[in-house]
Amino acid sequence: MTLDEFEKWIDAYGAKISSWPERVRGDAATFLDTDPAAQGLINEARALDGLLDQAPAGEVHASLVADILASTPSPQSSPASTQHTQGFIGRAESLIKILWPQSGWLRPAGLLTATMAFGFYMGFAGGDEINPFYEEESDTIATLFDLPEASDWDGLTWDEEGLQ
Amino acid sequence: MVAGPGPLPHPGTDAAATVDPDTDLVAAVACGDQAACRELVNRHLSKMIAVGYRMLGNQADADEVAQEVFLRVWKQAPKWQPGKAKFETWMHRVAINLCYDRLRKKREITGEEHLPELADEAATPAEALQSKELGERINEALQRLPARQRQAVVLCHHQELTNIEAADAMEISVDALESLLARGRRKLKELLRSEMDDVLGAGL
Repeated sequence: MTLDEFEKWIDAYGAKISSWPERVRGDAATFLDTDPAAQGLINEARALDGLLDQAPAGEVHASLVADILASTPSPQSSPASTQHTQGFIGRAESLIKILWPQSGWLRPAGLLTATMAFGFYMGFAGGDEINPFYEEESDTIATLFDLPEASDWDGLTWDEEGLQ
Repeated sequence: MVAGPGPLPHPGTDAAATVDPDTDLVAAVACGDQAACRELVNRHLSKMIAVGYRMLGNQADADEVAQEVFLRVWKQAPKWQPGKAKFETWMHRVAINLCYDRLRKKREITGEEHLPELADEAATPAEALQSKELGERINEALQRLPARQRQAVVLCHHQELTNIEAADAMEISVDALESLLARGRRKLKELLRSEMDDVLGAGL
């Protein structure tokens, strides 16, 4: 590794060689031990790192936390409904076992009938509550919460310096 | 000259072995688990505010960005597919895009990005430090960087994302990220020369 190469890496990643890409860390550590100028670069980079560490990071206010938590989605009824469904099927299967204890071949038909009956039941008794989150908002999710597309950046171009 | 820094992660971040610590939490959030929502906020809110603050330079904008990030988290959680990227990386991507939108609007209104004035360079370092808090000067120096350089420095230095994660969040190559990092840090050295000399002179 040359001093120029060392400087390029330190320019990008700072003074902590442990933060540099793994494949150059060994060479960098060796170079640091053998070239006094490298230590000067490390000291300067360490000073910059230390200053950057002191850049304010903003504060977390309780009111913001409250606002964010107030915006959380309502609990879905899916898990409860699933348990409800499994409970219903379980009870129906138990009933079939009691009514036709020796009729194993009848069980699938009985279970199917019971499931259909449950479908009718849910249709009349609040099927909308099974998954309102998806029912009501899936389209909105698709349109609002994807990341900006390239077309959103019309009129602007990036180069590596930033906004042009 | 060796080849440019390649897409190798930082220590302890072997990309192939990286496990997303948020996977279970996001799944619970998707089911509307309020405790999971609170935990996700506890885990990431300060980081999102930090991104917003360091990108935009003020608390109000940082708060709005953070709030918008979490609104998107709540909506996006049911669609999250683990394994493609870490959830935190996605959150950073959302945050920096929101910051960029705000910078773009500001630029459309003012015609240029807001570049805060630095304290009088003729003042001695001690006077400068007295007239303005060191943190504020560093924040101002950050705000004077081109937006993409600032993003790179904030994501890699402050947010401690790996080079791969930061490049992913910025949707650029690792080589491009490293170029932005190097130019950003060189510019910061210029802007914070007197502060750095203070530090070096103090033997710290």
